[in-house]
Amino acid sequence: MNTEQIIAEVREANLTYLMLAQSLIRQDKAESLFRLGINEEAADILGALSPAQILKLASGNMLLCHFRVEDSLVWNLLTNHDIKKVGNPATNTLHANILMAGRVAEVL
Amino acid sequence: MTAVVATTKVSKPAKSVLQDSQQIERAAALIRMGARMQVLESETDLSYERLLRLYKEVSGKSPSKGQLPFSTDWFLSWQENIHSSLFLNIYEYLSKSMDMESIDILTKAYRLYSEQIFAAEVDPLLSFTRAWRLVKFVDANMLNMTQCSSCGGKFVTELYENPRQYVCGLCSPPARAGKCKGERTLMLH
Repeated sequence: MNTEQIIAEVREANLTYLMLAQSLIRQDKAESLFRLGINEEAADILGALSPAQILKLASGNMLLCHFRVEDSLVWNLLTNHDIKKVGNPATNTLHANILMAGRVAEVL
Repeated sequence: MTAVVATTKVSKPAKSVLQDSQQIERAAALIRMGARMQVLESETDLSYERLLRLYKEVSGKSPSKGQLPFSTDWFLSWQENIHSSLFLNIYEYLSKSMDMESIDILTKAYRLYSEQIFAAEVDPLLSFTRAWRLVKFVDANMLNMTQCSSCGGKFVTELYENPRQYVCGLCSPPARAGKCKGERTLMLH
């Protein structure tokens, strides 16, 4: 991938993300806060952006969305990898979901 | 009987029609999610008779009779605890993220919980009425959440669980856990 391609891909991912985020926020703000993992202030700003602003925002060389998963435990649970006791994918997914839903700091 | 109804109607302050329609809308939404009569009575201001009529109209059958299960134990057994903890984590997340009425948080949290359970291809063990009950138990300080000392996740526990020693049912499953027969239940392997 050369630089031009990278920037094009990043722009496309940003645009998709921003458009999805905006439609989620406009549909149901409370639910979108949980799905996106952003706080109310950010949701208000994102929800109010015009299409031109979204295009401008998307056209950088940095990805605007970032990972929800921060620690290796959640990574392991989600990928069902390197788990000592529980080897069931559904059980591990629920465990990961509990851990991720418990991160209220991201919405405060 | 009619006389009694008439006097109570007179003594009540004039009700807003708009608020009334909101209440009916909310009650109908709750019925669709599977709420029982006790939930509707507690969360809306509509009379029992109207709720009953609405229930029959929306669900097409009479509401189940009898009392609600009143026990905190249900939420503490292995599989049920995982479902309850997931729901309560979502509930807390929503209640901290935005200022909303508690019944709205409850319905939204329940929807998100059902989605995640559906995605994990497991049967939803926690019914809407149970979820409502759980929130009431937590509000009444009969249950709370304790952080697991191993994974750091918060789980539904009894009030005086020692947080230093507490390990959740997923980090150290009890001996009988995951042996339940059934296609869409939680398993360990």
